[in-house]
Amino acid sequence: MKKILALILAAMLMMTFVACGSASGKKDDASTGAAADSDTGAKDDAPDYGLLNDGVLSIGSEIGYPPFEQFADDGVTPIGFDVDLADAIGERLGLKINFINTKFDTISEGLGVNYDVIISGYTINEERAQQMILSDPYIDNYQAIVVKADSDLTASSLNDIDGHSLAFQKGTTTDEIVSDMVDTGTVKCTAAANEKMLTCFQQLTQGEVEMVVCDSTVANVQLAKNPDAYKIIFQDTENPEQFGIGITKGNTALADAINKVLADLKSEGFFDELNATWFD
Amino acid sequence: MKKRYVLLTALAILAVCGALAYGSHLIFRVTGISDSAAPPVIVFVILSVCAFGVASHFVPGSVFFRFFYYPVWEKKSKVMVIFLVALFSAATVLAVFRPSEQEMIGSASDTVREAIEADKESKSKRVITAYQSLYFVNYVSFQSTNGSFNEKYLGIAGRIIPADEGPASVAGSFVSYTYRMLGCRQSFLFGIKLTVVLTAASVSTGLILAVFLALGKISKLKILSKICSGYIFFFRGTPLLIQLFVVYLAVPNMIPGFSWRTAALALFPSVGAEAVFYGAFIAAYIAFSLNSAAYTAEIVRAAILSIDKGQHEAAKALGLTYGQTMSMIIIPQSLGRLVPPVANEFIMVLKDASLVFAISLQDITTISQTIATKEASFTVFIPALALFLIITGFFTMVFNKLEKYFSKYY
Repeated sequence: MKKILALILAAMLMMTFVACGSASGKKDDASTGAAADSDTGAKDDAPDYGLLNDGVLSIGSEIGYPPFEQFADDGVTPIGFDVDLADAIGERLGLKINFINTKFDTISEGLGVNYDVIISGYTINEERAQQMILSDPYIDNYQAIVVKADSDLTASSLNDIDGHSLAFQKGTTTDEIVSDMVDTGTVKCTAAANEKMLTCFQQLTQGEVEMVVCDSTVANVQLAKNPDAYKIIFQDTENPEQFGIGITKGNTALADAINKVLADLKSEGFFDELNATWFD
Repeated sequence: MKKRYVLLTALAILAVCGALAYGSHLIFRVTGISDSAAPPVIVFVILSVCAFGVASHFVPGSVFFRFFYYPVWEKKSKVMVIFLVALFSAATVLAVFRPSEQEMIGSASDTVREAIEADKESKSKRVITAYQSLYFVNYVSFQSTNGSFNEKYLGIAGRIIPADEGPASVAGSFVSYTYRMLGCRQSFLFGIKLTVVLTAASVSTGLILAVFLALGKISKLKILSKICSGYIFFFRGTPLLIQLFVVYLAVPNMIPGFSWRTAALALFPSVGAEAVFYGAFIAAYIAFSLNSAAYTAEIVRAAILSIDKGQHEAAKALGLTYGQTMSMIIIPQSLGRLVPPVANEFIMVLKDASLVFAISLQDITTISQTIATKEASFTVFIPALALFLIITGFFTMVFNKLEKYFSKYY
């Protein structure tokens, strides 16, 4: 009896592995599915962009930052603003697209090692410009302060986080800005740094922190999803930030090609379409 | 010697050592060697261990004092203690000649000074002045948020050395990294303090819970045994990280109006804005204790079952009840066998404590990672590893002593 039971258990275990195997097989199909379409348009004499894998544009991204990138309900297909943009770029350059999910606070280290470009709601700034080539910006963004809908906190500048407890995502520009403000003594606040944006909003809902500081685009989407839960009390419109694509240092061929595609997409009104899809 | 006198002597020794340590704190502060609480605590520990060692000569009858009776110490420990005392004294001598904070900050160049002056009126300041001092050496860095300047100075033995390049830069960065990982000038919820406090608190709570769980599991009462087995199965069979998330994020969702922050505020009303971290700490403490209890319960059970059956029978023959047998015969004998695996569990939890990164607390691992990613400098892992080795080394020593102490009589 015991032996039969053991056999059944072993068989079940095997089945699990097989099932997993086929699922991950599907995942590969899914992540390259968008590329498969564009494959037909791919030219054999595509210029050499110095990619890690020939004919495949590997993209480093922290997939968990809606609306820019997140997994669809199946848990394996990346979707979002940046994903659509990447698909468009891949199509124009005749490259397959491969998203590589990575941690945001170490994302710059993997560039040129694990992936060719970073498309991950990546803000253009001086520090990053020294480590890599940054493309032309494709979207404007502001720092925003989000509070619970029933909160009576107000803010007229980013300095008004003074004396409050807040959450933000580790390694983002928000992290840099707020950490600088705390380190210089401009403000005194209790800052909880999290790995994921969603943890920050969870903490806000729960009442662990009083406010979340994040990019306005992210804040808008959270608000759209939960209109009764949160409200934005301040957007730092005086200091806009811009998202760009990070490209391995020295790879000017790829940078030029991407900038050209971005310019083309802008003139064709592609971004208006994207905005309508993801922000309204 | 009567128990009462033993207790009184012990208290007297502690009081005298405490007074001396406080005196040293005052001296340290007046002479400007150090403001922090660490050196007086070191003085206190060294003095009281030595005093108990001496006193153990005169009260040999007491079990308590026998723990400190130095002839039972190995020679190795004696050398170790002498080495540590010598190191501490040498550091103190260096600390006397350490440049003061004003001198360090005064060494800034004119550009920095202008920027600091400009900052005084400005609403958004631009200069990050970090003064970091590790008892005998200190370090100051002036950084502008827009990257226009970045000056560093290292102060040791009366000299202020620019630390922009070469060995001084490496030494300076080590001072800075160690300072941040130690969580100096911050509450106990940062760095090494968080790691040690969380581990010690949760393992000791876990140990107490574990004794009951183990007794429950080997109990003849079927229901109790099943409940305890179920608990152990659940907490050993699921990852600690998920348990942490459940305690921190799911529990408040299930209880309306409850959050860990308000719980922390109710317990410690004076913490103010830091309540976020206190709340997270309480959640982590609960999750770690529950988890550790499950692992330790199996250790305790094994230790109890390893005691010879004859001991039970002899106790029964003497007319002892089950409770008496357990508390007076079985558990005391099992303590010696308990210590090595509990020490193992302790060290495991010490390193698992880094999981608190998930609920926005910062322990040594998280801080070193943050530094590594922010400054793209991987030398930060050297002081991080050294700190871990020092902690584990210290606790390994303590557990070795405990093991010897508990297994001496059986």
